[in-house]
Amino acid sequence: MIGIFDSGLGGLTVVRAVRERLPASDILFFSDQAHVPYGERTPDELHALLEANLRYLDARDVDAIVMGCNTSCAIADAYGWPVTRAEVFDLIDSATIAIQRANALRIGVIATTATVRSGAYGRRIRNAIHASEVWEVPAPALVPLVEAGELTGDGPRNAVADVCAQLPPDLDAVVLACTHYPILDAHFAAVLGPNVVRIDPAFVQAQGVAEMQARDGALEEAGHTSYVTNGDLALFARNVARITGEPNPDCSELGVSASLP
Amino acid sequence: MSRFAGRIGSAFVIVALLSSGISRAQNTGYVFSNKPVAFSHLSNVAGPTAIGIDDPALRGLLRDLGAVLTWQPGERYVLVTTAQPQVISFSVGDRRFDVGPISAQAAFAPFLQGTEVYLPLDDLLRALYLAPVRDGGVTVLQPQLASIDVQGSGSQALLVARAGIPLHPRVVTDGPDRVVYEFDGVGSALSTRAFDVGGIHNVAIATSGSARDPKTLVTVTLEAGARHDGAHSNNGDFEVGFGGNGGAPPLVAVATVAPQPSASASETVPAPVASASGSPAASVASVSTVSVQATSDGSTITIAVGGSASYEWHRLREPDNRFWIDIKGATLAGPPLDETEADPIVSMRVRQIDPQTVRVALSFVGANSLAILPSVTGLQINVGHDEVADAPREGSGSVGAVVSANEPQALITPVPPDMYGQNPPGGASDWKFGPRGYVPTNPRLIVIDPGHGGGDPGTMRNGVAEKDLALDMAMRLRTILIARGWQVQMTRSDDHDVPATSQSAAEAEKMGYTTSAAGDLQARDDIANASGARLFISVHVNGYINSGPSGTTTYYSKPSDAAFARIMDRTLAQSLGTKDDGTVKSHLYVTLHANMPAILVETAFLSNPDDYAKLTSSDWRQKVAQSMADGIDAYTQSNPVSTASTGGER
Repeated sequence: MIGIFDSGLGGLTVVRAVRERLPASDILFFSDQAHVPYGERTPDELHALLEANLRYLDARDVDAIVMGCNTSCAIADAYGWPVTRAEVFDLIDSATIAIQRANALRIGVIATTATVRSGAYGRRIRNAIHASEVWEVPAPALVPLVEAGELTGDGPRNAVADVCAQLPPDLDAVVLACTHYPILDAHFAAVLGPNVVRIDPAFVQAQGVAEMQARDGALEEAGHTSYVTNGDLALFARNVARITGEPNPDCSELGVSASLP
Repeated sequence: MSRFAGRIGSAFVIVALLSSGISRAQNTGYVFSNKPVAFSHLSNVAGPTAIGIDDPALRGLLRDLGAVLTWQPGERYVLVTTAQPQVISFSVGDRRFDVGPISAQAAFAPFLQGTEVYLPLDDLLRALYLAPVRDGGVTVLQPQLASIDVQGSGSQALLVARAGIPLHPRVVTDGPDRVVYEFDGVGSALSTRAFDVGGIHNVAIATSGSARDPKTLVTVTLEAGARHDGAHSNNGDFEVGFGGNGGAPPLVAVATVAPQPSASASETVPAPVASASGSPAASVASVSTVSVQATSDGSTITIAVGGSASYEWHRLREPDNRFWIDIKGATLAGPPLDETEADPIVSMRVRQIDPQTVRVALSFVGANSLAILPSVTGLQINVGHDEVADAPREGSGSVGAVVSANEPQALITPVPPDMYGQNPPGGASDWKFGPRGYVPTNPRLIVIDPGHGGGDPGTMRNGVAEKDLALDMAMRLRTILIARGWQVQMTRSDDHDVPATSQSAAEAEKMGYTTSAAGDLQARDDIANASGARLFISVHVNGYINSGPSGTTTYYSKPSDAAFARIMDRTLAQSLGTKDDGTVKSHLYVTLHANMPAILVETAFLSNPDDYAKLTSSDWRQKVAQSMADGIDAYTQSNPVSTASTGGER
């Protein structure tokens, strides 16, 4: 079974990418909605939450923990990764691999304020690709739009355009460094044009898991996806159905006290 | 001579002093760039002035500065991204704020009033390098010179001036003993400072003019014979290079006969003066790409030059292992480039230093061999891992349609006799200056440091712990070294961590490390440093959160330890069958604080299945120990104690 973690619903784009790649694997998606939004939390709190969330998935005996939360990856970059039995797939690693494959040198990174503030993306990309130039731009307005289901029309289109206006011209690639953003990809495509490569790290995440399974010999599984939240179950189930298109997703609720501080 | 990096003041602090005295009058008018700035969302609830982030005048001011403010209801952080680019980050409810990597304390914590965040105005302004200066009834927001940095060593220096607005100074005096730059529209509270590097005696700063129309004069006083580049702008920063002729790096007492006729006898390190002399009347060539590629022998830099151009190159003597090549009559097509760590190249900068000249500046690990190969399409520079004691230090030629050079086209620098008049033992190509100033009192003693131990298992996988593997390999290494006639000191020889002593903890704290781990690591260095050993080797096992990364990496911290690291890396790569991840210079505590040449070997990744199989094989661990012993023998044979220093060890 593959564990996928996010603080909210953005990680469902990672579920989608992993599912496309591995139709026969079981997937457990865990959303820490009890503590969302992460943008309000201090780095110390975020680090404690990261540890608790990974511990929860590790205890469910997953083979891999695929990160679907960039803010948590940025925190791990500063604080270090908690020790887990399962392998962890880091979004920043995956984004860097994708950038290298695209041969991009002038790179924009669009992310949440907490991620931009950490500077983790810029640091890691510059370390991996010495000649690269990186611009990090915060886009906190986009997550609420996705969470509210406002995906089409002028509102999201203008919000995406406002964010992209902060980027310098002639970029080679733009990293969608929050897993909510690929849901707005049509707007990014329209605003950025065909000459800028849009990078969704989820695809490299999925590829990494597939390689791990090929290596270890994946178990026969049913290809079932279950969704767990520690927030409001009814709302969660409605949103999962809306975003994934599954009519009756297998959603369940986890008491906060069961796993988290 | 150690590398020098000096900074005049931190405007951050100085502007703060200014503002505390001046900007008390509340709700007066503000002026920026001779335009009124009518702040309307002001509050004094918190004492000092707070400004709402939705204030239209604030947004306009930020727009004028090329900055963007971002906040979303419900978010903790308010970010201002500036044109530099730099991120200024405030947190609601927290007095600490960050300006890039620097943290500072604000007058009060940003707070929410209704649906608007209020920020400490003075702190925001000084983060934007604007000083509030009273002028009659109004407060002028005066752009400030944020900092003047002088970096360099010996006879070369680079001066960088930075402000919250782009700097376009003019040269008002250019004499033999001083050069004066005038920065219009910029104030400064920085003060004079002596430097004595790169021919610079001191840098004096004086601000005149009015609050609304300030002028800052920066006077650089030079030693006789010092020269300077043409100034240029880099992302709005002002940069100018200086070169002196005194203060030659005191590495070698007497220079040997220069093998190249072009090498100057006077040890003058030229800072090429940007001028049109010798270059075509108009810049016709273009430098389109500069790329670095690792090869088995080192790294190759390829510079694509369209059209024809002349070039001139210089390199400095060890220990200042810098090199630059000026391509004259050329323009750089594309942005300036900064690249680091492509072993043995430590850093690379590509800049248009004046309208006619593109400079590619490199710095090497050591006195690496160098070949400059001009062709019709550009230049190729091969930098080898091997080092040469007294390489040629300048040359010139041309590229493009006509190729000529005053040196062989493939210049493999010859290996001259060393300064003691004898070729070094163990192969000339490995010869290198040893770590300066360290004299082993026990030249036959090696310190082995098995990583982690006791309650600190290090990295783990399937119940296999780094601490046990490291100890096993270290004990095997110990046995082999003793059999080969070495003495060995272990920092631990059983499953205990090396405990921090009160002394080591104090020592670590003095150096600014506050974690308890630093005290433990200092205890390991104390053992090594007290022993007076020849070498220090720390044995580790690597780990990562997933199975992707694999291979063997040799770390070092002090530039003088690069040769030991490289020889060890090569020896291990030949026999271990792991991926060779090369050498990495890093500020690891144990290697940084050991007096003797010190390396840390991450033998393989416990998190990678192939490496895991190797690490759990005792045959492979024996091979590691043997290769490490071979590496130690190879290094000590090619770097004998008697000739391995600048004279201090003799």
